Amino acid sequence: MRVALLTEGVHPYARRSGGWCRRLVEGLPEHEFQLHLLATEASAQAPAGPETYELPLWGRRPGGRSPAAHRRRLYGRAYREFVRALVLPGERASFAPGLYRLAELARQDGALSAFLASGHAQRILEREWRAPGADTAAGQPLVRDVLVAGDLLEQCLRPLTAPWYGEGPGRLGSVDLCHVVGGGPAALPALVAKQLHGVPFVVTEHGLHLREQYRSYRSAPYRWPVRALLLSFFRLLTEETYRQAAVLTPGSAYDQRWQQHCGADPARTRVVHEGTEAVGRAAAGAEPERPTLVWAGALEPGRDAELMLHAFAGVRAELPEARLLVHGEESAPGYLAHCQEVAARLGLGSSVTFAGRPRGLAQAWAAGTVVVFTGLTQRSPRLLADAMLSGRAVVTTEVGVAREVVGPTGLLVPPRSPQALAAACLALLRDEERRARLGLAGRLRAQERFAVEPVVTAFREIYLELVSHWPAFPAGDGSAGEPLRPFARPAEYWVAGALAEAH
Amino acid sequence: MQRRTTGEAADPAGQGENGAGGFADPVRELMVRHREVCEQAVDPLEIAAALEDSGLGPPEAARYRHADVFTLAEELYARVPRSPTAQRAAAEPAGWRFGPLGWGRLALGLLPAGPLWWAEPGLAVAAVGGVAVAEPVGRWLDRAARGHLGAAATLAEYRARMRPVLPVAVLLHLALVLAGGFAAMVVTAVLEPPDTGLLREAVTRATPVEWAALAAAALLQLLAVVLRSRPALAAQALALAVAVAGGAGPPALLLGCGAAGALLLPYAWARLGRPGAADHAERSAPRHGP
Repeated sequence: MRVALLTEGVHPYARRSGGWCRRLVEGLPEHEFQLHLLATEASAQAPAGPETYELPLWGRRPGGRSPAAHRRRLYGRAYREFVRALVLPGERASFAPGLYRLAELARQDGALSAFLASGHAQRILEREWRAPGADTAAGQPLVRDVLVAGDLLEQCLRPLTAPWYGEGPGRLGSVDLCHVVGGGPAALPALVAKQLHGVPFVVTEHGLHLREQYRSYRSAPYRWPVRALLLSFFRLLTEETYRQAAVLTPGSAYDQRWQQHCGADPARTRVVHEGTEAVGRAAAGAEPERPTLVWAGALEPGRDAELMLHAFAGVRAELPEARLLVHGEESAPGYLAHCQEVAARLGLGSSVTFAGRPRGLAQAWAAGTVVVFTGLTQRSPRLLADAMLSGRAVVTTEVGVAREVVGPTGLLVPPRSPQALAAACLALLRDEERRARLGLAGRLRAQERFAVEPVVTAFREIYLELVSHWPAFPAGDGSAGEPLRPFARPAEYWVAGALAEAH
Repeated sequence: MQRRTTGEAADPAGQGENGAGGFADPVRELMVRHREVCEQAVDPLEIAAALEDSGLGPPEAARYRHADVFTLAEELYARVPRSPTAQRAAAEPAGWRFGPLGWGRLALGLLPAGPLWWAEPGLAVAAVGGVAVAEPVGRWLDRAARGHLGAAATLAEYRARMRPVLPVAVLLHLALVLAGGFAAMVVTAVLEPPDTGLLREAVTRATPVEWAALAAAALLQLLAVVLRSRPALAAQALALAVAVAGGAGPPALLLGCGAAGALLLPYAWARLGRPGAADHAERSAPRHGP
């Protein structure tokens, strides 16, 4: 079958990307893939891989004609409905109709971007935003808020003007299903394709797009009204995506809880862990002679390397020959110096090494006796799973995905608690037999859950199941209002239809 | 599940018997700790994300008598009132760029000095000076527009605030250029002492048409800076071409530049009343997750 992969960011065949899409495409050679990429940067040379259709998402507006005068009113009406859904808490339900209407208009003349940048659209946005009843709890929008928000909305809605709709090669009308990887604006083409052509879609998210928006907008240089409008857009878009998606595959049960809170149907949700190629790696060899704790992660307050240092001071009081290796690059300016100062103040001296970025993660884990994670939050299971695959015992704070990833194969401690962390580290450093047992169990657990093959198998099944539930000709006999039922018609029906057409 | 909770401080928020640091109402302590996030939040999910970032998960939410972080965040959102935002530092707008358009402006701005030189060198000097003056005046206009953009509440108010800005800028620019022309003429008059009064000679040395040509050329210089666009530059070039075709004298210059200025001035005035996102807004793409 023909599958359209929709994603945002860098090309999945480029070296910097995680390569999840590449593994999926290579694992399912029986299906034909085409890639629709909302590029954050233009990829100069299209790398090998499935045929790719790119659309630049961010940055300056691509030139284009404004809509014709008689169509401006149509655009205005649709945009008004859309904006009302964003700013009036009671009008949320008009988000989807407004969005689809804008998509329809954009498909007809491709002038949506030009319209959204026009003074007409600015006036509509301002009028609705300042209308009584709009959610302006922390301040009315000013002119520049109208400009900035209009500009950001224009960028977010660019996928609606992509030349991807309709039938024909490279169009979404002629694929059997869409697979959205990452959510957010990348889901817009899939929503339109479903509405227009009845193409079902799957949504895979590793690290939720909506949650990342909430996190990043907190420090964005926008005033409250702009943040409220844009986050309302992302939230409504996410809810509509979850509502329309045939299957959702979050990367962890932690993400699944968020999705369910945003209206995802548990019956259509299936957790598919992110596979990693590190599964094939050999276990780390013999332990180092001196008892060593390894810590790895970006050096920033959220990862809480400081907690590690405090706990290590407790470990060292009991076990003076213990060492601590801190791997990772500084991502918050000045944090490394702060950690070094804390280490000096605690009198840790040369027993702590700030080793910077490791050459390879495998070597980093192998250099330790026990691997420790102290983050205040763990949104992605990637690093944790990689550590478990080394066969070293793991101690981690019980946040985010930690509990479901580590399970019974490691020690979980509450965050911000040096004593508990020190006690857990000491318990493992003193008990070689337990260490080995937990390490092996962790490695087996990670191999089972994070292998690439189960991911591919899961999607092979999901694709087939989906297509079997979807009638082949959605707009076939004008019964659009009816709910779609699997196997509603016998196979002969279709054969007869094909024969009738042939004659 | 092997879970270690050895040590007294294993329980991070609890220092007292009532669970959360001496507050009878355990959520109050969270409200105090996350006050800023709660005040600025746009919806409960934002608080939930912030709580999770600070290490709070389902086990701890249970300690605040909530099923999960989301309902806890909803309680916080409901209990902490939104407060008007402290003005965040807006991103610095794009600086004054002197690109290829700038060089084009410079060249076209200098050209009118030619016809004027043959008529009256003093006025030509003033026209050259006009190019130098136009840039700061344009920059002042930009700053004024940015200031009004930050202060105006509605588009209509912005338009009203911007209405006098261009006329003031034009008058300022013309006054500066004509004053420069007058000064240059005084210097010329000093070099060739006249029979009549020095000041009177400075004014009457050049004909009214020549003065008007200088003013028209100065107007066009300013408009090119204000509009900063290719079409405006093209209009300026066209005006000069007309002047050259018309014999390259001050009357032709007056005709070409005057007509172009009369056309461009209302356009520029209307355009300045429309806040253009591309010109002023702090443009940046929303940042993204991993």
